[in-house]
Amino acid sequence: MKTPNRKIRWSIHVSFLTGLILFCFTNCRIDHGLEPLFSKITGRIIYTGDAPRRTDEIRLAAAHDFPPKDINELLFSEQIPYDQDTVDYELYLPQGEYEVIALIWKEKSRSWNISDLIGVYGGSFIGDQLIPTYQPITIPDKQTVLKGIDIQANLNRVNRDATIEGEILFEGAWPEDTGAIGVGAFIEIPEQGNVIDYFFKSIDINYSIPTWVARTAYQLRVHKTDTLEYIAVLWINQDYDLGALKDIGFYRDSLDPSSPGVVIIPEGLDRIENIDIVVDFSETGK
Amino acid sequence: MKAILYTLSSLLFFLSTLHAQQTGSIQGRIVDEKTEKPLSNVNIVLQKTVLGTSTDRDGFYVIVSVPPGSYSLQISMLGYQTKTIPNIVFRSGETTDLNISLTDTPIPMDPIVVTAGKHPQSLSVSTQAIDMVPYTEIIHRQSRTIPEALQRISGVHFNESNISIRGSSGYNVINVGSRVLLMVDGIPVLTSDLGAINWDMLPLIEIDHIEVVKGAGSALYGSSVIGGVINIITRTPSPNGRFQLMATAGIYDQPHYEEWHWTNRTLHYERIDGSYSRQFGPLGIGIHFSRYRTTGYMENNEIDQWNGSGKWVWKISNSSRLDLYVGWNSTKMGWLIQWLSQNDPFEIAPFNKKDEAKFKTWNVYAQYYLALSDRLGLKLRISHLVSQMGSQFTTDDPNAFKPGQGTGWEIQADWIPAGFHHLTFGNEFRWDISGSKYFGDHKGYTISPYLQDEWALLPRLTLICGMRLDRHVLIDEKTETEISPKIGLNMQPFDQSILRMSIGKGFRAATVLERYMKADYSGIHVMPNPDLKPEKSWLFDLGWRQSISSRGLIEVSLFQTEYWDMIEPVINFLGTIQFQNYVRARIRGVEISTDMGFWQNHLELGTQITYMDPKDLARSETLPYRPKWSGNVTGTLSLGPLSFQIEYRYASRVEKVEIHPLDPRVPLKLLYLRGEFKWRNWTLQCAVNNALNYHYAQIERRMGEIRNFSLGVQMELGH
Repeated sequence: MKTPNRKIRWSIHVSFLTGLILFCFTNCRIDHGLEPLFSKITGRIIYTGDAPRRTDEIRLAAAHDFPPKDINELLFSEQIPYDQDTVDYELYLPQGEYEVIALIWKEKSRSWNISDLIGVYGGSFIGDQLIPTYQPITIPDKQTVLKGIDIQANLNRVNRDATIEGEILFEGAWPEDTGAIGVGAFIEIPEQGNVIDYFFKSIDINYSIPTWVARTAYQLRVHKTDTLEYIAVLWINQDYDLGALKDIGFYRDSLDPSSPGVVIIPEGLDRIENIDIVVDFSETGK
Repeated sequence: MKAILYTLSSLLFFLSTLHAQQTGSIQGRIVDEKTEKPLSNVNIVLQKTVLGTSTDRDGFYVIVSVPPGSYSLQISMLGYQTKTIPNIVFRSGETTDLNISLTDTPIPMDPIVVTAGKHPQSLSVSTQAIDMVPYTEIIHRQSRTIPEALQRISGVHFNESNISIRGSSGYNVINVGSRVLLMVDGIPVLTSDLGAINWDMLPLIEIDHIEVVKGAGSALYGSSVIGGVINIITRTPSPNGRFQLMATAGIYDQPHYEEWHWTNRTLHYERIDGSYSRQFGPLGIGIHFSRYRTTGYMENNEIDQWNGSGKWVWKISNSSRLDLYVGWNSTKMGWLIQWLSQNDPFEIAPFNKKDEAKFKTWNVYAQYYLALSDRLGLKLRISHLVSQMGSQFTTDDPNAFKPGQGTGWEIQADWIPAGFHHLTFGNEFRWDISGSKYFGDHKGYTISPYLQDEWALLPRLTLICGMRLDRHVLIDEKTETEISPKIGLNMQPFDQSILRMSIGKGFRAATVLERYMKADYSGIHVMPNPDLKPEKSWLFDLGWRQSISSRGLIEVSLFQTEYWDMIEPVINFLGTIQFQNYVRARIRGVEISTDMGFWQNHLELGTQITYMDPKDLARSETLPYRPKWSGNVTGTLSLGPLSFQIEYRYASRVEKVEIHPLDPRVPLKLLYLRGEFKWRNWTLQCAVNNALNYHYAQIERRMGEIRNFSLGVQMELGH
């Protein structure tokens, strides 16, 4: 049986512990982990052109580095309406530097394609062609609100009404570190090694080309009025590093096979076939 | 054929001569040392034989057919110190009377486990790191799910329902391809199509204890034992009848930040478990049920779950027993992929609001035990597992998935040819059927002979070596053969010290879903990869377990696991996912766990700390979703009928994630406060879970559980 002294000792222990816990709760700064974002950018999106029927959604995206290694390195806004001429938006972003703020279009039943840019902060258009200029932004702290981040958006850039079809023939041994293969149609020949130039000057890039095959068919969606100066096969390494993207073959001029062939959709047609490309891995340096 | 018949008849003749020897027996009663009340369901094992029994409702036991000689008797029960009585002499035709008293202990010092060697053995002779969660602990911690009950074990980490033992696994949304094998009463229950774990497949009230074996163990259990084994041992029916009812209800608090408040509804959960079991002569029956329902703490986070199960144990004779088990689960839940935004983390996108998932599981098995002599025991089992997914990937096709069906057979023998060898050998066969519009119809089987020898080289030194061959055939598609060896040493240099070491291989064959899944869901494309190879690992484990009188123990483990051809979902820049063999990895680490009792065990203190270095050697990066540091501290103060518990869990911020690498990440810092009051057959409980209302996302864009308050009541009649 417990003596009164032991009972008192127990009571003191329990009271002390309870007091200590209550003191900690009331006086210590408690860490609550994740918190809401307060810093944001706001601005206006000014649309031109018509949204294609195949539009799934349009979102604003911020990238610390462009191009990102991965589509998930983009910080997306919620869906942006595209059924009105201008839209005011706000995008909550953590503090930091952002190289590109862009508006990206997504086609129904397809994944996000980083080439489908319809507007960039600091960028502009000549006709429907996006000029490869952009303006970085910096959010210095958790409370900053950057206003006036307005973006000109041209929906015609993705309103593609014609198709190019052909075959790609792969010769030689596939490189061990192949990750993905794309094929792209460009309005001008992009600057070699400048990956950003590839995205801005593309009309369409299709990344769903099978790998480790001898030949495959492909399709690209373009505008009827485009003059396509360059149609190229693009190679991406096993790390899917878009920064290391390179072209490994292009559609050649039938008269001068050392030069790229120019493709113009004949008037009255919305499809052109037999734009075949040969890739010889023994010559690509891969 | 004639040769086989001749061999079989010779074997039977040999066995019958063994049986015909003159034998002795032992009987007695087992009581609690303090109260002198009889203890039922106490395990009694005659060491270096396959003979054993358990006490009846009045604490009585009897073991017959013991050949003359000197034996050690081991007596164990959860909540009591295991006792070993050496040098009991048996003479032919004589019965030895032996009454025994057991001392209670809150700390399981040397419990009996069955998972390490596929037969009951003292944890002190194991060569691998093993932890155990008894039923009482599940109750004291007021766990609502099995993952909650396992959280305190060192080296065990959960990313939602994905279990990782010593960093074995990262995360995938449907828990496909588990690297930890889940078993119920020693029978594998991974689903046939996904190779996944359904943690909700049985009522909590049915669990006797859970054994956790850490590290690769394919030498005994085959595919999927890369990270370890979780073996849930269900309760045997009570000798004198037991009725139990547990009910818990709780409410969720609001998020700490007002900006995150999203509903004025009171969000809540309720769980009720019921159980009745009793022995009627040689037949014991147990039936259990549970219902769990919650609104969840986020949008589209509801769960509605039913469980039912029955177990029949028929003690045919003193040397044979038949167990039958049927378990059923039905779960319907909201399907939540990610939050709407960091500023609306408890809400989801409008087009995901109707997404839901349904799961149904049937688990049936029969196991027959037969002691052919004191040195030869047989176990035969047949099992069938049906698991069905509902329409979570499509809203318009409820039949997108056919039930995954796995039928298993196993014959296992335990033979003790001499006192210093214990051979365990047998053959396991599994037949799997799965089908879905996403990965097609597939059938396959696995045939797996295995052998293990526990060799007592010296009285305090045991060598364990074993090997298993798994031949996995996916009909008309692929055949894979894996040989998995292991070797282990157990040494007891001092009375209360155990030094153990083990090296073993683990492997996991790719699941049907990982090979053949082709689907589009929410803008994510999954591509098949039929050429996946099995992933493999080698474990090196060194451990020291030190008991400090009866008041506590300390265990330290050093481990290194090498991985080859790890199967991981690889996401490319387009959001396309494909399972690929790509990682050569190494995980090194140390685990320290202590359990101590102070002030005559009024205060118990338990700590677990794990440090790991999970390295992707191919890319010189940290493996994703693995915290380097994790651990918990639990203090329990017991004052007569009252007890209070405080638990703090911590896991460091994960260095790498796969899906949204730019999202903010925080360490895990969770505080739990629990109280309990016992009065006669009743127990009242209360708890504050996540008492500091700490907000975290173990998986990107999926908020962890917020603060909630619960009240519970338990009633138990009989024991």
